[in-house]
Amino acid sequence: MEFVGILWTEIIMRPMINSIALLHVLLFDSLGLSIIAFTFVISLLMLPLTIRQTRQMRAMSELQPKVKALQEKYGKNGDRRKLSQETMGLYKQAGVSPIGCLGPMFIQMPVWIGLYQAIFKAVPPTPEGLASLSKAFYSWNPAQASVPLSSSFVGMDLVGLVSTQPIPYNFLLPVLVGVSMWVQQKITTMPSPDPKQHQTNQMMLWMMPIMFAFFAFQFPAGLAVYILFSNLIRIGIQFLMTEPGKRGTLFRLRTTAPQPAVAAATAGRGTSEGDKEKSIDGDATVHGQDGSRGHRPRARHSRAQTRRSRNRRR
Amino acid sequence: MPRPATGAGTSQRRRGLAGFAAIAFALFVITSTACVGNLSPGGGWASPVPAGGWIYQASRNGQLFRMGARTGEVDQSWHYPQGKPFGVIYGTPLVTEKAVYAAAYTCRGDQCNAKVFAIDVDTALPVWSEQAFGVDTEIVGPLALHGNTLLFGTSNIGRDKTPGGFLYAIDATPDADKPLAERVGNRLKWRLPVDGKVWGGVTVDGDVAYFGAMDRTVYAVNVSDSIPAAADPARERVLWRFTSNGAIVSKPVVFGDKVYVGDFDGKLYSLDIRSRKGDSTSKTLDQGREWVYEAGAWVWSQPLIHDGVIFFGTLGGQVHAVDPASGRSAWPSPVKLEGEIIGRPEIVRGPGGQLLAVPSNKEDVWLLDLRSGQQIGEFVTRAGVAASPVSREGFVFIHTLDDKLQTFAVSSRARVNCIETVDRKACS
Repeated sequence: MEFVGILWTEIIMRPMINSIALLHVLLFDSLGLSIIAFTFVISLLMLPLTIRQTRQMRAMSELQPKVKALQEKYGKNGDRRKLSQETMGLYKQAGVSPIGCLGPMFIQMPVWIGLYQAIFKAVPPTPEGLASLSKAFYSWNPAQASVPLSSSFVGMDLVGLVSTQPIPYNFLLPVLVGVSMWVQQKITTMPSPDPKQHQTNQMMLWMMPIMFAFFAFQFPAGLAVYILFSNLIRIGIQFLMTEPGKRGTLFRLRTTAPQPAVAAATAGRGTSEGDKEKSIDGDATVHGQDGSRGHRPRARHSRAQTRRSRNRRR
Repeated sequence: MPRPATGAGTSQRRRGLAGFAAIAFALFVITSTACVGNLSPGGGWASPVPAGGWIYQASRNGQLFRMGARTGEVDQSWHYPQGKPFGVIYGTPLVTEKAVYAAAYTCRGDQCNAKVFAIDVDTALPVWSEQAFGVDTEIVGPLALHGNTLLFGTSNIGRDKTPGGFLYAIDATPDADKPLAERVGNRLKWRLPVDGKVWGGVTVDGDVAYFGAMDRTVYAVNVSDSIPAAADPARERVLWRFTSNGAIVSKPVVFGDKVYVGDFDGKLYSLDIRSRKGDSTSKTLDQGREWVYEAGAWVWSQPLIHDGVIFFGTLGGQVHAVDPASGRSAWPSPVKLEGEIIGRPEIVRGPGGQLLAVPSNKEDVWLLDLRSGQQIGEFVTRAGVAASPVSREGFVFIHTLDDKLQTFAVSSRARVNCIETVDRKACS
């Protein structure tokens, strides 16, 4: 456990504390600007993962009709093992990892917890915290002479809990966290032809922002600022990754529930390629978003791959 | 009718729900740790105080009690408060012939409340008509007395971030046994606002109080009662200000016509009391009279001046010995110990001569040779020590961070007594 503690300190805590303190000095002694700049840095570091996640989600979404077709085929017989094998084979052929989509989310968690601790450690409210802060600084970091860092930012105390901030920050910050998270979820969640999956997505779309907004009351304001800007940056990245002509559709409020008939129409290997093409497009039309997410070349590529492998099997 | 999803659809949903549960758990961890929080002080590190044959000690949870310096027995009839403590006590209590003064504080969320109180040295009963003098702030440094004026530094008040801190001057006059008409109506005499938190102690020399603040400034303040209490202390009382490169938490020490103080830029300054006036910075030191010594790590410990040498420790764990005249190291090189040094070193007089006892907040109190800095041995406390050790009549009293008052015989360096300060019973 001690080893884990050392790893946590050396890989997460010390780099975070030193970065925040250094940015604080560079950005006019403002902890708020320092946290925002830090968010940009973290987002930049995670950009490859974020792009990969987005591509994986698109690819997953494009595979859904085929997954549905497999479900139709093997679900009838109750052959779950075969279904699972075929589905995994399908993912493998398309170069999609089902857990790949969760990567950035899991990487974010240590960042949240680390940042929460780093904020308290960088601006220690207790004498013990101040005494132990000296250990956290790298000897070369000129920011250590600027301790204690000022925690005031546009009328907020970033070390104080959101619930204790003056009006309107105490309720505005959780609302902004919730709204930005909703928008971010909204534009990154891929529609699914599976009604239950669609239902789960809808639940996540609402539950996550509500939960974050609720918990944000007990966050230090600095962490809430981090989550808010992190959401805004991811919205921006998603926006930039979408083809210019289809950006407008990102923010459409209404999504239609998938029609089971569409998936049913795609069932079976015997279906012609033309039909499949139509069904995928049809699916996109029904959801109103698939088409907007573009990435047709990749979808075609994965379809071609499927075709090639089918021919090989024959 | 849509069929019930099987296989991949289910596993995808499970993944979604697993992600949701993982994030919910992370949020729960974050918020639950926020609630119990790093915002509250963990417990004080007040040093033992020898006076009148007793050792007075404030426990980490804010109880004051005393123990016979020779007998090691706790005076069970003398402790304060009888009920719930006011909070944690960081500053060493101030013991006079008649009263014991101390300050405690507690925080709820980011709201702190401090209480300064005075109790009778014989009976442990309050000597002020009000139970305590309360301020919505933190008091970390020890109190100082000038005449009947009690001086102490604070953080900002309530949620107002400015000013960053204050030097408070309150009336210390005991009035609990006086008739109502003769009681002190308003204990606050005056308070000086400063830009940073004042967590170090105040050193009084004559009519002048010296203290440092986290605004990187050393203040010299006239605390004489000859200045009307109503006068603006910022204009009428501040004699000079010196701005260093780092926050100041170390309590200054006055020796001759110099004041010595360390900062968080890893420097120890020697400032000339007689020639200083107005505002100045570290760049405008009077090179003929003043100097700056590079300690290389943050200085929290109050320097100790003994036999013409300044001894102090740093949070980097180094112990330095400096010649007050030249500002150069008196040892071949600083001594490196494990942990951080927060408490002031102490001189221990044993059969083999004098040694420097240095507390480490990691573990133990280390014994160094005064002339060379060589490590001679240690008092094995088996716990960190942030308080200054106190030496009296062949014994050393040490308040450890696991809240024990341990007594060691200097001759054998063996522990001879141990009191759990929370319940004032012998250590188990």
